[in-house]
Amino acid sequence: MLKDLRVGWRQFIADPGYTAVIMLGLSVAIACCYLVAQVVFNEVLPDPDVPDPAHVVNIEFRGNIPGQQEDWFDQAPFVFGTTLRQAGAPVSAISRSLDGEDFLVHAGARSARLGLEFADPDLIDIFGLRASAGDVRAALARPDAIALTEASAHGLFPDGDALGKTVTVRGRALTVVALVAARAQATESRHDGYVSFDSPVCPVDADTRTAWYSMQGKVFARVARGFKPEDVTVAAQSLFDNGPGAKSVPAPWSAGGRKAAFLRATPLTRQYLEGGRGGHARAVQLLALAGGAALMLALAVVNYVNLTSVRTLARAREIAVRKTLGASPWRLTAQFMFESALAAGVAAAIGLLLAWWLAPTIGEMLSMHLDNGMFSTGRLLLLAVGAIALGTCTGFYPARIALTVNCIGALAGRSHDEGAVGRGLRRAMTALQFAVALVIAAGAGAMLWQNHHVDALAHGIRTTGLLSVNVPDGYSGKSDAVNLAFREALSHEPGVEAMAWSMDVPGRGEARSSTGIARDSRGPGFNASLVPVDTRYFDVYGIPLLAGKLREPPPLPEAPFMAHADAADTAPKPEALVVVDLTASRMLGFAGPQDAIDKVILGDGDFMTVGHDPLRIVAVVPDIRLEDARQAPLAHVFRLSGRAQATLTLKGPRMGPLRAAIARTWPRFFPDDEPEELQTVDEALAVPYRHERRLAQMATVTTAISLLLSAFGVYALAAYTVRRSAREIVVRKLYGAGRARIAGLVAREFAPLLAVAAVAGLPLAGWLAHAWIANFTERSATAFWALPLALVALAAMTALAAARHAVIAMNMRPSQALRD
Amino acid sequence: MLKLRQLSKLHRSGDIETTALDRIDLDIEAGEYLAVTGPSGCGKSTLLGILGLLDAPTAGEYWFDGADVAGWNEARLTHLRRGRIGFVFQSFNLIDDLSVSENIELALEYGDVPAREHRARVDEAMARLGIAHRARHRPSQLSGGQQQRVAIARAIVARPALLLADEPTGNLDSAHGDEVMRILRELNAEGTTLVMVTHSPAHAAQATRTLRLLDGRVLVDALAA
Repeated sequence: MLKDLRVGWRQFIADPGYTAVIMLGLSVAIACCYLVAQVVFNEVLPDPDVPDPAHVVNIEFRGNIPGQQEDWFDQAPFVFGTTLRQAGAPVSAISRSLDGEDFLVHAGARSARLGLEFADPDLIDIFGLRASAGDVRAALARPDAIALTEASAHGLFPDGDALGKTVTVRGRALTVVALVAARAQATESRHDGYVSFDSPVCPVDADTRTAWYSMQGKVFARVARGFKPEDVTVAAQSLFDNGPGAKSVPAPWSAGGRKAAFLRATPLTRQYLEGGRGGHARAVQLLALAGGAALMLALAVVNYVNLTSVRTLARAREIAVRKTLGASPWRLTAQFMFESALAAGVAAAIGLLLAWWLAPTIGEMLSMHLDNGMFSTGRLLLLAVGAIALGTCTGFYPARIALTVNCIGALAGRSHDEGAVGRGLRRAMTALQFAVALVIAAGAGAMLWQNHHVDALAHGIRTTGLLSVNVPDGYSGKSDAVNLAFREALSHEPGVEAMAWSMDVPGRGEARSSTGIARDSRGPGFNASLVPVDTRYFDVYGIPLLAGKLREPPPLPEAPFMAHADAADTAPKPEALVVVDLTASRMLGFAGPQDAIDKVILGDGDFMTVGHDPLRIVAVVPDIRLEDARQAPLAHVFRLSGRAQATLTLKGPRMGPLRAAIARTWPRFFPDDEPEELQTVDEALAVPYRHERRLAQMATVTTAISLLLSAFGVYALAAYTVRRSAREIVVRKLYGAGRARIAGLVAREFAPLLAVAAVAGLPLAGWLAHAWIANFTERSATAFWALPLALVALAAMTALAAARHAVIAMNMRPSQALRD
Repeated sequence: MLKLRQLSKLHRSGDIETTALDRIDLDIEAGEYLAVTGPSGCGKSTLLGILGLLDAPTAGEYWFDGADVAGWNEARLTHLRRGRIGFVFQSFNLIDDLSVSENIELALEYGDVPAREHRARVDEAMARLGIAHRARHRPSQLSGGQQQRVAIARAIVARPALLLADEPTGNLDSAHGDEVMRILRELNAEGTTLVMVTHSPAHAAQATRTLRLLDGRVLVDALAA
């Protein structure tokens, strides 16, 4: 075996071009597969430090509003965390959990932005949290305590023991009572610190803790011994069905025994691919990644087998010598399999380094942690076994060729022909290679085409020269006075031309609200998007008024966005002022924009039902698109508000002064918070499509690599074709064949294969393109042009790769035929 | 040692059938030095291939050391060939990726000689052929004569009873060719049975027996004068 490996190694060194081609293809493909495996280990599989993750569940919620198809939320009302066990659910531990926000934590002169989790003490039993010092349970039981991870503690207290020290969060002092040991891999619990859910620092207000429809966090539970997650599902559903949550919904929601909402307990082991809020999308993404990696590997393997079999034919003499000297068929087969295993092993090592290098970038693109555990013993062993298996399998075909070498002919210097079967197999592999490259290229082209179409979508608003910032407590309204003062201070900053409040940056889609609207109490109602804005909103976003005039709303005691209505409260509310768009105006039955001015409509109803709140229309604006390209456009109603909202948008000629103005002003009003990432409106509009953009980027890179591999494969096969047909070429030239006819001989080798690849690959590419575009309501009508263009690109690449050897064939001299 | 009885070999290509050997009867004793001559296409190389168990006859009998191997499959022939037959070719047929010593050792790799004896045998063969100083060189770094000496070393390292040479001096100049012929005579003198295909009358005359073929048949089978 060692001798075979030595021979194989020398073959690689002797032909660096061939080696580079096969190593590039195999190592890139192996890197892709390894990264997909990292996704599975780091994202799909639960944290290995969690004991028995199949019995740790996340309570999930899905509304059942008539006429709507709601998706599962991976969150549940916090009230389940305090009532589920009391109601007799089979759980041995249960904890509320709030995270997702970073907090500025001060320790004397040092400060750090830490991701804190607010939870109950049972979190320790559920997730197996271990203290490396102190008492984590005390940290989660005491409202004035905090537990830090070892890394966070070291960052805040580099000189000594953090235990017993005080930190400040949002102006509140917390004592460090525990350090949490590092975890092997953090999926559910990637946090820098843990604080009691009942801590005054916890941003969840009292109403939200007891609300049955408000979801801001998660409820985790450990299923009691002897029970299954399905038993917890039944208990949670029963608790909701018999509780105040189900009784507070409108009558149509629960008519005929309809359930107002559904609950389920999803085990951690199924959370990633089946859990709420994106489980299906993550499954599709993982499937797409795995499919892409598999295609790359197929391409690289076909390329390798093709090129290696050509080399085997060139080694016919050596093989004949070995056979002559007594090499048995098994011995020859073993030699070629060892050589292939060596190639796969070296490619695996290079692929591993490539994966390590790419992991941070690709992880950031996909919002995943891909570099954790990359060099763990288990994964390296898996890679080694996979490489050996790959090498063993790919060595079979070259070994088969070696076994068919005729000793006498090869020893006499006659070239070995692989025969009609071998040639057919080679053509099939090349056609497969072409088909894979075509599918990848066409799919990537369709994605890019659709993305371009979406980017060019007209929203009907100004998008340039605008910078947005989210203010703290913008949805809850708790810090209205401070937020308004912040805006007032910004108005005096140089470079700030104008500002406007709104619930969210138009089109970003991070916050949505809808309401039932009707012309009058007789209905019918329809659903419209309801956006609280101030009067400056239309000027800042360049939305013209088609009719009417804006005026400041009277100071009404309106409820903040996230406040939930008391079901028993049916007292009529004072008039609010609204601006509607053309679609809303038409759906309300107004003949023209002017006809809608000063009319009072009814709003704030439930889905498709008549509301009770009077809304006076003061202006009509053109239709604008606030929804992303995956959603159907809605009618829009803008409620004029004098309150601060969650998002403040600044208008100015240049972004630099706007950013500087925020940087100067913010600390005076929000000393305990840092502003979230500032976004221009253009950047914000791109947010809903970041996932698609990443996939399109990866598809583009994959396309480039697959076309390159195919080009190398074509180059080598063209060389083989010309060498094998050398006698035929010179004899044809002897009898008068021109250069074009000779070039046609080479083209004849590949043109049919391209045709087969087109027949096999284009339907699949079309299906993939259709599946991608079907995700959008705004669809490019011309995206399918990517398919024929991909075929043209593939044909052009093939022609280019075969050109050199076609020229060699065209330049062969007829006198060569006279020599032999 | 070797007996051929009414041995024939036909080559088929589609509907075309070519007779390479036509009912050959031949006996070769142990220790003989037989030269096979004849015009191109008369069947010399085909005969050598069958004698060397590289190919199977279409008809007839081939007795090798008392066993009729005519109907044996490739695996059995390979097993029989190991260590018993050495080959020397006109174009040397050395493996470029292996050094001189590795090329010679290749003949022992597939046989029954224990691995611990390989080094000594290879050194002995290299010393015998005067190429020990080139042990680490690659074939492409040697002259034609040196390459043929490596090929002969490889042919004899397993101490075979039979040595088959197919125009061993065909690609050599006269000086190197004479050198190779001298070595072959020495090996024969030590008891190795030698069958050599040659175009050279002078080299054929050095054998103790000459077999002349024409159109696949034995034309002349005569002892040297």
